[in-house]
Amino acid sequence: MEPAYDLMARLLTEHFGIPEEEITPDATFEQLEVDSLARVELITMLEDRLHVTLPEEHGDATVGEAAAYLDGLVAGRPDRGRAAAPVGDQPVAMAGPAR
Amino acid sequence: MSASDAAVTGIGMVTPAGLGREATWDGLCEGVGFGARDPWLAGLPVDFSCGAHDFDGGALLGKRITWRNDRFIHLAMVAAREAVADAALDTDTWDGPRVAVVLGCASNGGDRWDVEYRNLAEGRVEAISPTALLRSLPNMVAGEVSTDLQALGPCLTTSTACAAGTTAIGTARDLLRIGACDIAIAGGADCARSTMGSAAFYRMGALSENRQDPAGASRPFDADRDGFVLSEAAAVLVLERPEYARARGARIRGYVSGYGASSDGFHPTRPDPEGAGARRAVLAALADARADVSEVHHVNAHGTSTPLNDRVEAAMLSKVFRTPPPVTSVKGAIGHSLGAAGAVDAACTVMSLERQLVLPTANLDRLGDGMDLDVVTKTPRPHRMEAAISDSFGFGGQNAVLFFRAA
Repeated sequence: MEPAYDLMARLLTEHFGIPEEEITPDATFEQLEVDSLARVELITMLEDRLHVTLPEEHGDATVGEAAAYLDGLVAGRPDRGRAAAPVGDQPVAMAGPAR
Repeated sequence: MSASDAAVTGIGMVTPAGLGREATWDGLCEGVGFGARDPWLAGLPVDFSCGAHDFDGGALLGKRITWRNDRFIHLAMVAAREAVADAALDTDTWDGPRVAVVLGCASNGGDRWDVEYRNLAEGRVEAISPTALLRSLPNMVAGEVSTDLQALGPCLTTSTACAAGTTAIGTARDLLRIGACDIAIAGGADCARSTMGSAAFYRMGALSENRQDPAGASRPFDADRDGFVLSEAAAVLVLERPEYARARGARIRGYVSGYGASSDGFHPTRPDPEGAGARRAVLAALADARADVSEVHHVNAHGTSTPLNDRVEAAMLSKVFRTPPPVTSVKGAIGHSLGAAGAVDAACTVMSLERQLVLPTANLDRLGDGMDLDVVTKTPRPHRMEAAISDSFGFGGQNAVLFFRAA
């Protein structure tokens, strides 16, 4: 399976039009101008591709931190073919919109 | 020209005939149809359309601002940018609150709902895009264009079905006339070649079913016409108060001098067989322009290629103009783009007046029975013109007509 970082970088470029050179592990989603709607859309796309469920929590993190969190979720999934609840209590890096 | 006219200072178009104003004009001058088998519509009873197949909104505008919009908005943004550039206006320095946006839209991004309904039917509410509404609400076409251009005055979307683009330009002219703005970005955009649109219009019996010859399927005023061909397009005019345009030294391409609107009050889809509503709209546009019928030297007709509309429109034009001036319908070439159609017609009318050239109606080989019209076909016709009208008729019995004068 494609590593979460590569998948996320690809989606950010192909779907959201963020130039490849701007995407680094240290870049935050805020710096990349991924706004609240884009974050929800990104979460939806990641869930579809990785078969995991992500909470839409507030906060900001780097692309690298988000990828590490996603890799952890995928690795801890009991059945990789089915959706699994998120593990741990750490906040997901891609914050959803304010509600 | 009178003080209440609006000056046309810019034109932008994206149509199946070409990407851009000049490419569209050149394509239309060829006098051929642009209908083709459409992969989007594969498996449907009518699987062809007139598509702007070379158009890629993401490539032209950048995905960073287009990922959340559907195609009809991309079409509008590109046409609007072209129109503003053509008018030599600078969006960085213009007085944004004095710039209005009025765009017509009838069907918007129908395909978005195909995707989202599938998600819903599968119980995947979480898979529904948070941008589903942004992508498809009709008013977003004007909203996004206004944001893109930083046009911060009145921002409206007109929805009078196939008359929407014409209604938008007439409404924009009215906003200029009452002093609500100095500049108006006006036109229409639609991506009508959706799967649901094709299926629904097919069930209504409105579409041509000539699968053997998609390029020849749209045949306005032809004896063998059997319905329209769905299309996609955007056309935008920059309108200005004449004194404003003159003060900034703008090149004026023509004038919107009259606008008339009416309702048939008859039937959801069928035109009044006497053409009374359409006739009233034409006469209202002439009265608004303080013009006599003899001053109309060309008619850019609605001409959808449906048996009924073309017959009623031809009869109406014959009645209003005892000797109808040269008539054309660009829908023979580029099909019916619904909410964009009137704007495309308006843009073509202005260009015809500028170039003293009437565009040909593609696929017209033999006029339908009883049609007493001078419909130009095969090749463009040089013709001396000082004024012309563009008429549009929408489902719901909504009619809109624009009267243009040459610059």
